[in-house]
Amino acid sequence: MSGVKRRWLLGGALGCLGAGVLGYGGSVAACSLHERRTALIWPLLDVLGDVHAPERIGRAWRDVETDAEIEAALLARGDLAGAALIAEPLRRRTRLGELIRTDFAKGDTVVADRWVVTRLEARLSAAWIST
Amino acid sequence: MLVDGRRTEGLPEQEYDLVIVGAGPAGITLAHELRGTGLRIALLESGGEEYDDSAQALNEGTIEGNDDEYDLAFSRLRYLGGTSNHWGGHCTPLDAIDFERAWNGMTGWPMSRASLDPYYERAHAYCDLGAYRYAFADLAPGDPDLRLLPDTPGIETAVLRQSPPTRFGEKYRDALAASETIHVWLWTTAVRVTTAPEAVEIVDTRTLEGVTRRFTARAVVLAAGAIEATRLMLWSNQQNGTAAGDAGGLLGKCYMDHPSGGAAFLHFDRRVGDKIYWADIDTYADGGVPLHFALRLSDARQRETGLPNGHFLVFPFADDEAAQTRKRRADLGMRSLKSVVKWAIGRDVGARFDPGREYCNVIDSADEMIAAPIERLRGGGYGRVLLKYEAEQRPDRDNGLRLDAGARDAVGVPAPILQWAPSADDMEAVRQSAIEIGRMAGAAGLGRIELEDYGDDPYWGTTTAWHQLGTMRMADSPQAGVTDADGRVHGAGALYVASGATFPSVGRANPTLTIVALTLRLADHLKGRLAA
Repeated sequence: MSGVKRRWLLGGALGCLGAGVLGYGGSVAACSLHERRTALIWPLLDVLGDVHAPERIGRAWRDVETDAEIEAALLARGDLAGAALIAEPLRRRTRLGELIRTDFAKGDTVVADRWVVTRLEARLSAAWIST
Repeated sequence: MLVDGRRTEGLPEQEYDLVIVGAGPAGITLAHELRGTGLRIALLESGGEEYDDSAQALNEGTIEGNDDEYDLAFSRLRYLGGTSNHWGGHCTPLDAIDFERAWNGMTGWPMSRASLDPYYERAHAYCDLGAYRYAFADLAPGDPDLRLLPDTPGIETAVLRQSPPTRFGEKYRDALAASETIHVWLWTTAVRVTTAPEAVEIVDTRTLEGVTRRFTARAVVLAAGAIEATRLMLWSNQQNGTAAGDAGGLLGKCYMDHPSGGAAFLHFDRRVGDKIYWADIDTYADGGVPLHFALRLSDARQRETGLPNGHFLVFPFADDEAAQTRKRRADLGMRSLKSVVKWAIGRDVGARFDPGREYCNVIDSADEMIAAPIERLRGGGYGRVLLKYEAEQRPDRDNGLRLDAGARDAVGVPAPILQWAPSADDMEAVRQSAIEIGRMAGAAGLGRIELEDYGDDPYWGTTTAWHQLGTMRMADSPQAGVTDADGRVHGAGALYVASGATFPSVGRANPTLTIVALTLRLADHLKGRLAA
């Protein structure tokens, strides 16, 4: 131990910490420049809890609509934005569940890779894959 | 009286008021219904009192199209009681909507459901079905948690009643044997039917030993199943140089079945415990008659969508292979236990029952039989169910029966060739119906539907329900059908058909109850006609 100077140890530790801070901070800064719709999509992913095969459904639906079309369709739904803005997760999930059940009742459904889901579920599954 | 047709001496005269060809559910019901009228009746049965290979071989024929799990030789039976000897026993009447519809340019039923209801009610006694009740509201168990879906205008629960099943030969054998006016001619196969100029009906018969006979009567009823009744009619026309019943070119056409198979899995959002729909349990009964429950589109929803009829039987699925194996063992043990109990109390268990085998099944499966309900009580439940469809097949001239010019059976009748090919339209109707169920399941927060993958199978994995129907369809006009609403063959004198062959459409209902009901309707008609 006598060969190891205290200042080397402290310097090394601070160097590692600094590299981590720089790496993470740099990544955050870089990602902020990359255009994504996480603010809208992430709160809505609660819906996928009841979708049994979101990856299969999402991949199938990407053959039907482009990312831009999916995004535009999601943004166009006022009731969806309202649900996404609910901060409390359980209430948000309950509200989204109501929307999904209403869509089913209205017959706003599609078949994606043999799954019968609402159009909204198909779009969110596709958005989840694209995110 | 039972008559052995193979004998050549000491036999009664062959002049009757009525000859009935075929001693299955229709033939026996008709004879039994007319037993008190004093009419002299001959009931012709191709086989004997028990199964016999040589008689059964008369059924052999060819299937073109979908022959998966299907053969003509054993899908029906030739001995007293006919195909009721291996009948499964599920019963339900045709739905009201079935009497409103006409498919593919064909005519529909020339009667209403309401007009047939009194006969359905009487048919219940013949099929040992208890009260004539099918409304789910009357029969539903009180606990709403036992249901999968709430009532909606689109989806409803269909009720099927379970016959023991009635083996018509066993049930009515003694009454037929004791009758002085009904002669059951065993080992006597009809090979030709003719209307003589003096309005006498003639039935020529032959035994496997080559003994021929000629029966005469004031009326003849073909009461065999669709394939044999049609085969005899086609062959008789060919021999006679006539076209009885064939003015519209429909004799032998429009064969229908109830295509059956897996439609979809319903994956639950949360695991569910036992429900009334589970097709492998028969816990529920009405007056001692077991009930089965299935899901179907309501008549109203069928009208809106134009979809044909059908129902979905529900089979719970354990989640992994090991659990499925355990469940199959438990189910096998329960089935065997029921058979052993039935056998022990003297109930009918079928000719192939082996008490040793069934008992050992129970012993081998005892651990799983005990474990399965305990696991369910612990909240195991099921994550998904299979929806198995039994669908209405719509009439299509391309499906039908014709005679094989190159093959004859042991009594000289050309063998049948059956063309049966469920169509892509039929498949799409099943798919759309399953999607409708998926919408309702999603709206109820129950789960999601995953449709079955049929790959490139031209017949989409469907199999026969062994419901042979429709090749002598009934219609008011001779151009639109083979028989009239009473079952009388258009263009023939007093030649009638009591058979699933007369169905112009098949709905979703297992057909035996309707066949018996139509037979009772014909019996009333014949009472009037022959009394006059």
